[in-house]
Amino acid sequence: MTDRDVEKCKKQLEAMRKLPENRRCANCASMAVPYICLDFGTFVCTRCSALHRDLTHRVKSITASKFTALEVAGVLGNQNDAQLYLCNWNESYYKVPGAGNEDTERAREFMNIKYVEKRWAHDSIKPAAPVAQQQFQQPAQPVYQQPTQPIQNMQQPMQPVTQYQQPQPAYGQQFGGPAPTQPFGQPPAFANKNVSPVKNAPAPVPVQAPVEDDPFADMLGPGPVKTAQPVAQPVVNNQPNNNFNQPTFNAHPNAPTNQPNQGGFAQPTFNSNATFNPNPQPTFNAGQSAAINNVKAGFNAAAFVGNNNAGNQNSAQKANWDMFGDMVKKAAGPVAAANQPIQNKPQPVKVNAPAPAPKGNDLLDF
Amino acid sequence: MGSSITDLFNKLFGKKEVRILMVGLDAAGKTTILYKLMLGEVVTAIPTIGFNVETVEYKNIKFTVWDVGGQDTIRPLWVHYYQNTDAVIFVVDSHDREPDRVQDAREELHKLMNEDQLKDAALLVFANKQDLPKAMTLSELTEKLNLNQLRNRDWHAQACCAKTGEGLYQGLDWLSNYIQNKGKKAK
Repeated sequence: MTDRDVEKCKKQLEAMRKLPENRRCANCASMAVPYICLDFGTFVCTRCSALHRDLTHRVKSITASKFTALEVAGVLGNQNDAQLYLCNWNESYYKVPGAGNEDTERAREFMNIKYVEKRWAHDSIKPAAPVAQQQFQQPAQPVYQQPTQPIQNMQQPMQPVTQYQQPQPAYGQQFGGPAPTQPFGQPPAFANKNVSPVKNAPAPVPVQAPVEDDPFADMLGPGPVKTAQPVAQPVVNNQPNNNFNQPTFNAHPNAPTNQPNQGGFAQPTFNSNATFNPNPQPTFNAGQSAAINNVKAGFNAAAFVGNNNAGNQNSAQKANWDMFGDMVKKAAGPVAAANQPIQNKPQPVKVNAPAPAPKGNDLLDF
Repeated sequence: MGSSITDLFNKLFGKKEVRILMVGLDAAGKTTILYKLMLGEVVTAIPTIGFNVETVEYKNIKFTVWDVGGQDTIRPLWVHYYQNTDAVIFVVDSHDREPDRVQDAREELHKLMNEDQLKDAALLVFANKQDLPKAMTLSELTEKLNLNQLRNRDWHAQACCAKTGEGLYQGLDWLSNYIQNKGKKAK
């Protein structure tokens, strides 16, 4: 690769970095994004780059590394990432980790749920439904005190279809009422017949995400992205290092090790086409047996909980969301406390001086 | 008789100081190894821009370990750390089988070994991240890095895992043996 190619790649990345959706770290509230995670094509902050490396993801500094054209083509930005991995997420589920060191453990957990467990991921890259349900039942990570309130509710027997249409306090409010419009505008895959007129699958509705205090709102909206990008090469597959996507559970004591179907997670379906199809074909089949429908409907009902981006909640429901958020916070409270000692872990002293000095710490004394 | 008493005294109280340069590609685990040796803890290391330096005492030898960032555009800065280096620790991510990366590692290593300032330095290769599935084995890596082609060099390859600390002290054992033997040869 010539110097000119390197320059060209760098310029492309710098331009992408300036886009509004890439100015914030893909995993936390930090506004400085000097690193790129090549596995997901995201712009991340220094702290999250370290956490990515812990998960054996490949991270490169924009300024201190050279990028190949192939690598640059794989950088689809934070919006694309959010639509894939935070599709069913909202702030009341898991508050966005702060940028500071005090939130490092929360950021680690957030990334674990987002990328390893794929709890909020889009259906197309999610593990198969039964496995996911099993995951909900068995807390995947010992650290995270599951089940929290929403997850318990997910396991309750399937609610009759009508409750979706007419939100009742017990169910509708907690789950945000009718299945909200999804960011991609695709019909809810299996939810129920009334909500999901499969044959009249609505065209993608750009959702402008009017929810305040939603740090990822700008990433999630509007609507589908990058269908016809020139970067349609199967980037992930082109790289021979499919190691990135292979199970890395051994290295991470927090990750589940006893799940029989882990292999399924390792190769998410989106690997086969790098440019993510924003309008997946609805897979609902009217002829499916009621039993199967029930299982899947329950799962999807769970998945929908995260979508408050539609902005179709009235204030009463919103109040409930806030309460819901509080519950999550409360549930997470002791965890944070328990993690306190870990946060105090000594961090390597970084000295940005190229010339050797007798001791790194001496420089810090100034 | 007198000299043996001096030897004994030196052995008991004299502390050898050794300067070590630790390099390798980015995300190989250099900083994690450094702090595992120094603190016995696994830190979440942010990518090193610049360097970290710590002293580790082991077997009555004071190792001053310079851990220098390994990202590609800052690798040319390694040259500034060569002077007076007694040993080079080259860390490799055994888990990264991407041919480009292995080739990068091989080229960097041999470039390093051809440096005039490092011609007397011992070489310890850490094959890190052995805990990960599909990690390359030590023999595989030895072959891929063409370690057997090294001439006039004391080298040793050691499989390790910075997270658990396995293999790290075996590597230091070899280094300390080498340094003590070298001291005897000098006499």
